[in-house]
Amino acid sequence: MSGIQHKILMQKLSRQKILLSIILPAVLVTWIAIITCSSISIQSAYAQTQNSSSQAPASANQSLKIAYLTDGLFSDAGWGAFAYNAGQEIISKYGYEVSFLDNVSIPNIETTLTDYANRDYDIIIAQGYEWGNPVIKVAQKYPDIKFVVFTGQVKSENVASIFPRQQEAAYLLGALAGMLSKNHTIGFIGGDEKYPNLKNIYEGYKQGALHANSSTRVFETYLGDWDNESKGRSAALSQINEGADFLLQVADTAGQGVIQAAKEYGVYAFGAVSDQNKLAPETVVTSFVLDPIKAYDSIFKMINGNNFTGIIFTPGLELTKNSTNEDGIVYIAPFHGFQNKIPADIQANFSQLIQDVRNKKIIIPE
Amino acid sequence: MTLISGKLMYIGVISVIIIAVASYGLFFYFQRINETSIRESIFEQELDRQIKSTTSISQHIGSDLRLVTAMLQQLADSTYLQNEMLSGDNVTKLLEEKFEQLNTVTKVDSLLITDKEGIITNQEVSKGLKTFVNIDISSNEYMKQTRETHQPVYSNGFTGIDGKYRIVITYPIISIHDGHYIGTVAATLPSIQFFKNYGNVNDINSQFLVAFDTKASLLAVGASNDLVGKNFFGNETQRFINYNEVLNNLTHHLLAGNTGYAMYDYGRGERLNTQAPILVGSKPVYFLQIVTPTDRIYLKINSVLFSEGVKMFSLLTGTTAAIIVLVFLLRKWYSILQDEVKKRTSDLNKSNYKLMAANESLKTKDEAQNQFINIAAHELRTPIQPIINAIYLLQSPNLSQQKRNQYMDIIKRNTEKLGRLAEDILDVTKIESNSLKLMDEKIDLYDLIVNSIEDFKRNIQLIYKDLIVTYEGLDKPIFVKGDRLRLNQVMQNLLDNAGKFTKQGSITVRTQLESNMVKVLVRDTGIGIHPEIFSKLFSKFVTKSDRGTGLGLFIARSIVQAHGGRIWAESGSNVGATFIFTLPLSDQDSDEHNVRDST
Repeated sequence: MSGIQHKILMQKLSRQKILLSIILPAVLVTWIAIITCSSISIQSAYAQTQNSSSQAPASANQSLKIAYLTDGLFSDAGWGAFAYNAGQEIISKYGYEVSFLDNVSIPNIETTLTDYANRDYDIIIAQGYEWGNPVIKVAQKYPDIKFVVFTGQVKSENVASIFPRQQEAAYLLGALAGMLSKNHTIGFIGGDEKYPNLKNIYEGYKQGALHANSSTRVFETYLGDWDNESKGRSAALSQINEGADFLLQVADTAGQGVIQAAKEYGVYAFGAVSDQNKLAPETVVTSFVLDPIKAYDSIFKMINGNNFTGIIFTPGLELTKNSTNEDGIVYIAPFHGFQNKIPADIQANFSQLIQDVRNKKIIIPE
Repeated sequence: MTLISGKLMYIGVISVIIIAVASYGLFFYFQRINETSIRESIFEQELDRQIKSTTSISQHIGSDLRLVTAMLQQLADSTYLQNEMLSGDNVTKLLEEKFEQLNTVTKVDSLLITDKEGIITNQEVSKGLKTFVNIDISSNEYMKQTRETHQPVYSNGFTGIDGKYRIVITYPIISIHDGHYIGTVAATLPSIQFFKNYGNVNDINSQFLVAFDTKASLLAVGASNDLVGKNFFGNETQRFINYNEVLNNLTHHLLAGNTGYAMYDYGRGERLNTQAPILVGSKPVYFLQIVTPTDRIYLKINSVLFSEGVKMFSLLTGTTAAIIVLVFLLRKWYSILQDEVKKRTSDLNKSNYKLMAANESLKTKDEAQNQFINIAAHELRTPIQPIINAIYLLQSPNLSQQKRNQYMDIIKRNTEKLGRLAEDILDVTKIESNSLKLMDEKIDLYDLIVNSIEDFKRNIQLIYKDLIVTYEGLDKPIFVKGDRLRLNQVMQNLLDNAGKFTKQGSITVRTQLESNMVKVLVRDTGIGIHPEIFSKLFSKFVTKSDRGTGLGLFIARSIVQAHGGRIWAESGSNVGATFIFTLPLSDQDSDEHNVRDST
């Protein structure tokens, strides 16, 4: 600091002292008054905030702490996305607290379950067929916790499963492909053959295709991988080269590779679990969709009624998303951009088939 | 004697020390007051600067948020979205472009489109992140608000599917044809990275930034990243800030939309906190605090003060050094001056002594001169009167021849005396004016002494009939260099002097050789030398004789000394006196003598 600055400072200080001696008392009184008032008003506002934040969600019958676990990826735009959306629906519909975990490797399923069981969750929802047996095993040690396996086929005193009849929707997609395929050749690409629900989907798809056109060829490929887009793409290219012009993929992230290949080669694809038209609006004709809003209604109905029993629910087809007068949780997504491209007679036939399946006129076995 | 007395000097030194200590004490006292004033002033400046800076940063953030909103509006108003094409290649391309554009403004890690049901239909994300197409985000508060209000929303913080803490800016896609809600575009911003653009969000020890959403959740906090996502008034944060009441009140004030500042210490050092709401339009959407460890400010202030202190110290040291040097020089000068005064005083004293001595000498000379004149006048008058009387008597007509001869003899004798007196006075005058000229010839002193004795005997044979004069010295030539007449005058004076004080008895003259000198002794058996005059025996006009001029011994000493010899007297009480003088032998005589001695 230079001497001049210092001098200015001193002069300023001197002037400030004079001013302060006059103004300070007045300012002090005003300041104290303002601080007191604002302090009271802030405290009052804060108290109100605290009161309002402590209120429980209006829709919750009781507060439940839920863990939603899956080996899928929330980012797969299909199976994993369904898990996240279902959890979000539980939060918004029931007001429960939900924790999420995706990308659990198959070998770690049991330890993950045990870990969450030890963290005082009331309900543990495990999404994926592979979770069945580990859940049964862990559930025995934690009888106070309710376990739910989505797409599972296991049950015990505190374990219930939901095994949607996806083959009914797959049947409809197969029939649509059979009606639309110019080459009378369609394909199915699945993540892993050992999953019985996947096998069911394929069988339903094949049955529907043959129902529409008995000469339709149906390719069947399993990737042995759910997350590798390249594998999905390679498998799709192989089927396209064989003449397949409609492809149903049920392979999570790897399935996006199938859609990408179909888009590149101008053939069509079907989405699975979620409406995947967004991934390629010009390629994905429609999708079979699991309805997250209704998926767990039956379970929470039992829990809230204190009559939880080890049941395997097998909800089937519903007409549209969140059809309140139906038990089904599987529906066919809108055609979006294909609405005007699919001939009306085919659309009429397709609608009729939906009705027949819903009315059990057509039964698609497991 | 010194110019300043010791006591005065002591008082002076003590006074200087007291004045110096008092001056330095006052200087440091005022310096301290000065420093305090400067410290307060600089702190106020820093506070003012930080308040302005905080407002400026909040305005900057608000401006960036408005810019992001404007870009989202452009996207929502694009032809594809207006035609409800929320996915597909064209939309993806548009999304990519807009995503890149947004990232030139601030860090946006995801740009997404949802349909009217809140399901993500398309998403562009930063490298390394996953897309979440088909994820239903409709239950999020910001989506509900966007859908209900058809207005852009600046969300509170939330933890995304991937666990990252973010804020979202949404913009509704509203049909420009009929105003129906088509969906939402939204940009997600990682809260820490977003606020990092505007300040430190990692280091508690520097000035850092704290950002809140409307529910007091921490979006970024430089004090600890672990607190991000936590509610400020929640237990974890409150424990961290040690339930600091000042900070809590300040934050309440901020969340009510007010600016302000406070200082507090919640156990990690004193902090200065300035705050301002982040406004978009007139609505506060987020809230900002800038927190500075005051030790940083004080460090800065101290740095300024230290710099000033060094300058002042240098000035003080320089002045002190100059004063010390000046004092030293003055003291040195004083010392030199005192020495000079001492020297001059000493010289003056010496001169005074010399002058006094000279004065005394002059007085003595003057007295001697007066005495001389008196004596000379008396001595001159003494023979004149008998001459006059004799002349008167000679003029008598009946004067016998015997009487006539007797009177003529009186005239002759007194005239001769007058003549001797005149010669003596002339000699003394010559001696005192250093104009006595001596011959430098080889003289046989033996011969001279013997002749002098003979002359003396002849002169006194009628006056002192009972006086015996003998020579008992060397009976061979003794050569000296000098003036024969003057040395004869010395011998005559000494013999005449001895005769005057002996009258009856004997006078013995001796000669002795000593080294290269010859010693001549004239011893008498007279009345001896009166003690009163012994010490000034060789001065002028000193005599106890009623006949002498008192100049004889003075003249004798002057002649002996002029020949390189010495003269002195020895006397017992009433047992006679001995006058001794020495003369250097001439070289030849000395050699001969030495040869004779050696033979």
